[in-house]
Amino acid sequence: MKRILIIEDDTFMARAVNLILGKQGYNITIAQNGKEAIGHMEGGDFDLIITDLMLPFASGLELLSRLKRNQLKKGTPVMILSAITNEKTVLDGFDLGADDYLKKPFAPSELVSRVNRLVQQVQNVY
Amino acid sequence: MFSFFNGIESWFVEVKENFFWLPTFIKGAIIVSLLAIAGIFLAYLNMLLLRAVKYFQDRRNEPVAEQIDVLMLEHMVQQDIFDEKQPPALNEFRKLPLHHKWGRELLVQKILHYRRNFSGHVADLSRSLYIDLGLHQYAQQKLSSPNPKRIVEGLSELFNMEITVEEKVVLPLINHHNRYVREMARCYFAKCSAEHPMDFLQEISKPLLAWEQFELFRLVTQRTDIPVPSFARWIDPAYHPSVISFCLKLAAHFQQFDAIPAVMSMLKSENLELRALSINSLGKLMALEAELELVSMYEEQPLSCREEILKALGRIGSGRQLDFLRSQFLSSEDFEIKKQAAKSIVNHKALAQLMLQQLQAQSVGQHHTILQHCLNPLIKY
Repeated sequence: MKRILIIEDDTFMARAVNLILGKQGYNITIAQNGKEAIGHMEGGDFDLIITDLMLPFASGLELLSRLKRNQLKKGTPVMILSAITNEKTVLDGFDLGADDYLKKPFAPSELVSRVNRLVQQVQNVY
Repeated sequence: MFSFFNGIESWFVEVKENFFWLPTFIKGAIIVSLLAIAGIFLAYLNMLLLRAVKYFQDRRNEPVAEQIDVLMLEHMVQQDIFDEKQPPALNEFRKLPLHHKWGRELLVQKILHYRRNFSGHVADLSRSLYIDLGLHQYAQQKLSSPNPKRIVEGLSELFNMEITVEEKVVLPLINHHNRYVREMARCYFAKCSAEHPMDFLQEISKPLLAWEQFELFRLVTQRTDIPVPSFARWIDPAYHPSVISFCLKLAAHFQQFDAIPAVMSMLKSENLELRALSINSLGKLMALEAELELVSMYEEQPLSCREEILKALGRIGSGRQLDFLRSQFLSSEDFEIKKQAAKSIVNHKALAQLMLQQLQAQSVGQHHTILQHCLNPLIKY
């Protein structure tokens, strides 16, 4: 079963994404802040990481740069799920190595198809 | 501990007995100290009470919030994933404590949260759920509340859920004494009015603030269901100056050429800012018919309007006023006027090529520097 780490401080959104992706057969782990996320990332391997940008303790972009510096986790795709829509932040996200950027508000079906595609891509590479 | 309280008590007794014999400044100091102690005590008591109320509210709300989350996830999000186009299960939602105000508020907050985070079918479903449960009626009731905060809450709910209410209910709120109510009511009109989103402008008697103008502009540009209204209607001295200035900017932005006569009528305005803005708009509209009038009024105008006239002539760029621009460039004593005249000559591009060559060959010192500055395509100002 594919494992996904969701980093989201809004409990309701985390639960919604959990339900949406859980129904698709993914094994979901939720982290509510940057510190918790780092713990999870160090503790196990994930097939995909979905992160918000505005997080307590460490922002989504900080997490991303940390993750991409870590050689072991270099292959893990990262999707940013955020309400920040300004062009600069989106570009910063991609520059730091994000594989996808989904802007809120989003349609659940769109999230599912983007996640499926990212997980599929990794499967094809390795 | 006992001796400490005993000490305080005996101090109080002593102060009470000898208070009238004490010097005035000591009396004052004692009164201030007692007031400060009482104030701190009341503040702490207030904080404790508020925290206790919040704690009990949270404890009461938690299971209901949980229930709402489950219902919404099951009946709305899941539908979108599995492409089931069904109306939300109203009976399930009606089991929630909606007869209590706090229950309704909780559900409304969750629905609004949904609208902010999800698009497409889920957003549509959350709106229809809001209407089917009759929650919009409670929002409408808030509009007649004497508390401005409640009115803003009601307007914000209706705004976010895109619910249209009768104009006569919202119209009086656009001139409300509270600025937040005014701003929200105006934004509500621009977003939710079915056919005439800007008609409220004619009713405005209190100023439209700069950020409000920006927000209204954003809302108008987002309305794709109706054509952009003609702003010439409100370019009339009968309306509030802030409305006229807003419409002048919008008419120029949307290139509404039918507004040119109305804009020209504002050239005689007593209000200096409006006059300057009208001249600016005529330039942006490239109003060829205004050129002669602008030149003829130039001498009587203050500096700000003169600059705008020169700028407008550059934007219109017919080439007929090049001599006028050259004379201003060469004869004016004012640096800004010289610079603006030079920039407007340069804006004429090919039409002014010969004149620019002559000016470059003849000019020295400041004139030469200004020309070089204006001819540099990398410098905007």
